[in-house]
Amino acid sequence: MVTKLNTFTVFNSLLMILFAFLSAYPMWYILVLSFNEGADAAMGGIYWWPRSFTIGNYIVILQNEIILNAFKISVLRTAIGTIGSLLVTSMVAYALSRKELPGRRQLTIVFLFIMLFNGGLIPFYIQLIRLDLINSFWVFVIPNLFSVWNMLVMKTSFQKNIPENVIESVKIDGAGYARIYFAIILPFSMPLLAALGLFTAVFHWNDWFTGAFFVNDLQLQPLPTYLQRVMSTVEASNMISAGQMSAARDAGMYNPAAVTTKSVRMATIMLTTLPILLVYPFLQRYFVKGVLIGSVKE
Amino acid sequence: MLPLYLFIVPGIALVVMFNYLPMLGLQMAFRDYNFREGIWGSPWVGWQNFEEFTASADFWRAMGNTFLLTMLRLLFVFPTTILFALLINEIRSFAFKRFVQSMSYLPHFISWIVVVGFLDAFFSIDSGGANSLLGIFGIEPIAFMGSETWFRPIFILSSMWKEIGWGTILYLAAIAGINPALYEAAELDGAGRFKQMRYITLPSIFPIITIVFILSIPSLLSVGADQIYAMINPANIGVAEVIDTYVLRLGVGQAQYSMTTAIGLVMSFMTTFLLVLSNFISKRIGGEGIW
Repeated sequence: MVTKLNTFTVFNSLLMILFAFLSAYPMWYILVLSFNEGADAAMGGIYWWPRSFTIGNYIVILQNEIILNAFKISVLRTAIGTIGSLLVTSMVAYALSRKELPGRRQLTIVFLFIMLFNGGLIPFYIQLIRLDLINSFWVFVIPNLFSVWNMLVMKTSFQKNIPENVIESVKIDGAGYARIYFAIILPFSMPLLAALGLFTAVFHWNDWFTGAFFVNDLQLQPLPTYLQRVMSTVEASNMISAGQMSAARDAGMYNPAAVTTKSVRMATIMLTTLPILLVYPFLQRYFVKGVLIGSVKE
Repeated sequence: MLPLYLFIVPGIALVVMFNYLPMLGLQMAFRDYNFREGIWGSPWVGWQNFEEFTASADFWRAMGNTFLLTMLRLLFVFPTTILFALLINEIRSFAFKRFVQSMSYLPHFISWIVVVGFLDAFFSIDSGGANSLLGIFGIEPIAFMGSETWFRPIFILSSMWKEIGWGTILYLAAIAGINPALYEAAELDGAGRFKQMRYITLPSIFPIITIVFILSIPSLLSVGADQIYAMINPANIGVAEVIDTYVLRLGVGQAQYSMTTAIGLVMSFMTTFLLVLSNFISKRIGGEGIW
């Protein structure tokens, strides 16, 4: 009996180490390749450590104005999109959480119905055209300002976790609905807002789809969409030649001839992933909670 | 003083603009849409758009691929997630358990386009790690990313990589809620860890397994365009094209608005039907529904 248990424990521990390793290894593999000279990496055999270390790939991409601009667009849409979405969504959740809202039941149904039925991609696309949002920065922000899932989570939390007598007492002191919202509802719900905000921010940072289909202007493309372009050899070659023109200034810092389309691609992938990896430890504190709140209804 | 209903005005405006008006736009499915006359003025054509797409071999191919890929995904990801939740639960060291969990949740936060970047780096025909390994055994390089044979395995593998760890959260939470007295009693009766897993843990989380399964039925209709679109190329389109990418290619790409709206209408109705059905079943068997 005892030996059998130990066999299982050993086997399971090894399997779990493999599981953890496989979850993280792709990131490591790309990181190693992004710090290796492309020409050398093309010979293969690099798995654990750079063989011919260089920061040349990063010099090339960080000198590229399009990619810096894409980074800026990503940061802007993530910041504005997340704050905006938290505001709009929590305002709806707040109003629907109050029993005195006239027509509360009917209004709740108006919001919930969109979970059940949708018009599909093309009518949505036509609507974006008619609102003049195609080829506009705001296409990243405005259609994502309201999230019905987050609204439900917030509404449940406002009803459950904010004591009614606190709200009643400020009301007696003459506070209006706006005061209650800003002075009680929001401060009381900070952990929840942080959790939902992080999820929203990750969505905005990762979304390449909107940029690929609703925006043609290269100046408006966010980082993941630009990464999709860099996956094609043409765009990666453009980056290299642009890098070589300005690289004269950095003569000696790296060997331009060793930079390949593939090594530039690796550096771009890392640049796109890095912010996620950086916020991940903070994210972790919240997300298990976030998922569980999301799965529990009132 | 601001009236309370002012707080929902932005929200209402948004759902009207981006959800309800597009629903009205569905009538394009029965019209021959042109921009000048718009959704309300373009000529009616009856079922013509529906006849057009049902006669298209590409549509049926996309439909078949959609079902096949979502079924495969369910078949591989769903049971593996439960298995891994059980195995993570068997880790006795708290720190080790936390470590495995932290690592395994990470892929969920990586964008699909980045995941495809990983795949491309590792499986590419020139200097990809996979082909270097095969080369050691004298196997000729394989064009994994541009191949009909390898598309499905890579699709499944990447889906598993991205979602298994994250999917264990729900089950692990359910396991954490199991009464420890049950395990103590089983141990007194001489049940080993396998028996405890088999007769206590698994039956205890069975209700949540059932519910997760039933509620995932509607996802059989949609693969997720952002995953497929990042992987699709002319060499694998035969097995990779799904309804979502087909609608994108013909609708947004070639401006065939009316026909693709007709496809969207059919898909929307089927999704709604499955949502209502799965919610009904889930509630019927005593679980939670989505509403």
